[in-house]
Amino acid sequence: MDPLDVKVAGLSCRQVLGHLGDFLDGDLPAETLAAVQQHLAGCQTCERFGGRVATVVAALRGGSGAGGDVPADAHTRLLAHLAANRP
Amino acid sequence: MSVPEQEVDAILLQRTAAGDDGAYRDFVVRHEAGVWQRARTLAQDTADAEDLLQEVFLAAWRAAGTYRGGSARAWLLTILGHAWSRMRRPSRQEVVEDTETLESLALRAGWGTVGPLAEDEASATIAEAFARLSDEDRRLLTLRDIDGVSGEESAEMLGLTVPAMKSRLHRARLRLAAAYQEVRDGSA
Repeated sequence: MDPLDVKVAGLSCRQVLGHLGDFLDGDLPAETLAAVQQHLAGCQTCERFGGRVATVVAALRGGSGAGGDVPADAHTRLLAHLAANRP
Repeated sequence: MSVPEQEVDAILLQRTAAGDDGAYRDFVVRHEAGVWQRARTLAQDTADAEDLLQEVFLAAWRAAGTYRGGSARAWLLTILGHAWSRMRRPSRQEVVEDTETLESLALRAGWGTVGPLAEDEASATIAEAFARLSDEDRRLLTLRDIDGVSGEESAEMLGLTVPAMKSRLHRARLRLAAAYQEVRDGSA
């Protein structure tokens, strides 16, 4: 049997995977949420995987790390662009 | 007593609309770093990010008279989102069909093999993982998970139904987790 088809607490891992997005956003109906939570309590694989996806998303929300200050030459070109195209 | 930040922005934009170029320059200086960071997150390429920066502040200058208060940063980031959509549209031949199954995405992201992960551990390489994603995935993740734009508004901005947006978001998050795993493993 495909490991994703193993059922725990009435839901297969495949079904839980399908619900993961709404689970992370708090968008699951109460009944489905309870079923997913019961599955996670009894399935270490899904509990770990869901936790990992949640942690990666939380890290993204905390800051993607791109950017920093505007480079001095880009700042200069921005002001020049605005001056040249003044509305 | 100091003037609240949003009032400062409102005053600067009112003066801008009245023809005070110096006020707009002050407004630009207050917000250019925030716009630049978001432009770099979306565009990755520095030249594209600089084009976005220029387009956003020119559009905001033209629209200064329509600003009705609230967060100027949010206002600018909304302008940036629209500018980014326009910038990407000419080069996109068609929307790429997302054919990889959820199960395949989950396996690439480590389903069945990965252990617990600490958030500070994830933070160290999240930017590199994010940079490996497609424009579409970065745009959606930026809207929902970085900017915190609602599902309904995100769907509207992207021209999608809410269920379609949710499906894409779920896949984009799994691809982010997969990219994170690739970065950790040192694979391409």
